Amino acid sequence: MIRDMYKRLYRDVEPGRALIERTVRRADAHRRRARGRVVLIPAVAALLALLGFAYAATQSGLLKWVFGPIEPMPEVQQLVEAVGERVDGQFVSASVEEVFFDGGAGFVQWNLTTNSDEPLVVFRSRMWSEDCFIEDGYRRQRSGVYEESGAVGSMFNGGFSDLGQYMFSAAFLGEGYPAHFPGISALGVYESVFERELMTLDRPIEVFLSFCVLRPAVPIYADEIYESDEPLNPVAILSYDTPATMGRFVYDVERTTVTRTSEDPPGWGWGKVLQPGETETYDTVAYKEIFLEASRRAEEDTLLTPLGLIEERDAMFRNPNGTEVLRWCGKLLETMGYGEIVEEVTVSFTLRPRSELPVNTVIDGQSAFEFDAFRAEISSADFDATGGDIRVKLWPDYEKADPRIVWKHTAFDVYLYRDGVQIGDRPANFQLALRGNRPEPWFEIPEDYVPPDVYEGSLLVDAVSEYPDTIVIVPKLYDETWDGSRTFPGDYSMTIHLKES
Amino acid sequence: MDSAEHIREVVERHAGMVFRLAYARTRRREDAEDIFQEVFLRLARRTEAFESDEHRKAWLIRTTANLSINLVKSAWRRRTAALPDELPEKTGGAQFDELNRALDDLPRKYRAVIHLFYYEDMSAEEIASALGLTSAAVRMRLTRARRALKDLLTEKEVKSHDPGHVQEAVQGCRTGARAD
Repeated sequence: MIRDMYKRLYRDVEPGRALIERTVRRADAHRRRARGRVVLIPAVAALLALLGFAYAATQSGLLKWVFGPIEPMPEVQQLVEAVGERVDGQFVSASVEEVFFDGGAGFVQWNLTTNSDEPLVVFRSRMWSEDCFIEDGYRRQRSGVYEESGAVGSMFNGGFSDLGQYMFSAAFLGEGYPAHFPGISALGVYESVFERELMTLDRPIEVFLSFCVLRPAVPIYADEIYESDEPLNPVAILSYDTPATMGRFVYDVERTTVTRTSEDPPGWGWGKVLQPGETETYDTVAYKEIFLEASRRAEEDTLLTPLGLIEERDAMFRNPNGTEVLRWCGKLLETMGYGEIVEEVTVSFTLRPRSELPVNTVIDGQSAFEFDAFRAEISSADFDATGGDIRVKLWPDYEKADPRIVWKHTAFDVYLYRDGVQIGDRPANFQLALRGNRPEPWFEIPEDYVPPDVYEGSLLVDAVSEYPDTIVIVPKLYDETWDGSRTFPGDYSMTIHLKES
Repeated sequence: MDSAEHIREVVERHAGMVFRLAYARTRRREDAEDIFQEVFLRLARRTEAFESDEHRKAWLIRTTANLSINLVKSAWRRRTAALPDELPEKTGGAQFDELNRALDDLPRKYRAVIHLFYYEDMSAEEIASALGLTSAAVRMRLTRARRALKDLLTEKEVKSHDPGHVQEAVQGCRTGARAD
């Protein structure tokens, strides 16, 4: 019955005639270019080898990944540097190929290649430096610069859940898996682990990236990248163009059954803590497709292991040396019986300061808006070559609030225009909530929660191919018939004109 | 691809299959259009010949599936990703709406196999061959996908009759309350 319904549902899903015609035209042009390229490749390759850095900037896979279909402005291309550092181990080789860095944040493209035929599981450390703290692939660092990947997170569920943020997901390499793994990681530079604001790098620093290679001792199988959407997936990798290299361990319930000893200190989990002598199964084997089910388990499971390694974790947090942390995590995995560490490979590269990108826009005219439900002020709308930062303040009038406005989840679409023409092929829906619009942690809304008087934050707009002269900010409103939020053009629209600074 | 006519012929022949698979994976028409174009551009750039029409079809399926994955995880998609903003034309009744929404909620990894199985009538072995997976993995996904779809449809049925109950359950999960 579902098959029949499915077929009827998709029967009308067809590409439009215009799309087909456009595709045929473009494909034919590509075909002709491809034929020409076969002849030109040897000569062009030799020339590009001589050009070095210029090649990286113009052919950068990193920029293509970061900016998608947008053609980065020349200023951005100049921020890309070819690195080419490589370390060869017995089992794997690691290299750093390119860095895109704007002085405070950026991306690193690295590669991992196996030198062995056997299947291997390779975990990556955080990037780290002795000179400052490197935030790595965990969150968006700056406009135009997006994070990819997540840390392994719930792999060390419960008592060790915080470890997850110090080790990145694994790649499977070798027999039955790809021999090569390209990764891209976001980075941001901070004075120390305690700072919240990016620093502007004023000196070259050496950044290290380590890989811990395990020979698996339990069954593993590859899966696809979007496994990382699932909270209980213990192993996720980062990749930008290699599908089917995701993987996770097949958990063995018995193997992960633990007993708290009387000497173990309390764990760091959010949920219950095991009593001395109490045994609990680390129940990640219970695979759940539905997010809410998985989430519930993740929050409640608490693991206190009798591994005798607990004291070391304090040292780890005092000095978040990525290589040491990775080694520690690998040791934990090894002790838990998931594999045998066969190698550790560390590659480093120099991160160099960059000239600050000039801000090219300033608000010209109206910046304050008043509606029945709220008033708003746009204090700045700074665009540089990597994107925009629109600072917004909203003062809600809760008594007059539009029921379609869900302040807890307020998000906005931002439309950009230049000379009356929208920039980009599609509405640029940047749904970034303002700070203060939900209590932390978000899943624990206290009963005595009082909504704030003002919401304040940045709408971080990603890179554009040209600077806008007009931006239109539209809050997303809840639509009962849609069962979700979307914009209603014209409702609460705030139009801001910009001029070049 | 040796001529414009050949390109047109291939695009016309496989357009529906590629577009529907891209849409099934992304559930966004705009994304499906992007993937659709990119698939055929890659085909045009390809210099190696296909062994057969089936080989070409498998290549198209695999490329479409892979590009869908790339799009989902690309920075660009993360930036612009929104709620599924365009539903296929409704072909009748609440059941279709429920199925449609359940497909929105179905984990992405299951969408390709379920689509190829339900719509293209491909066997697990054929799907495995096209997607570069093992038959066992495809069968496992199909089993899980159908179970998830069933659960989602049941959940939506409950929700449509008792929205308050579901909201309560959702809130319970968010606060870590055990539902049992």
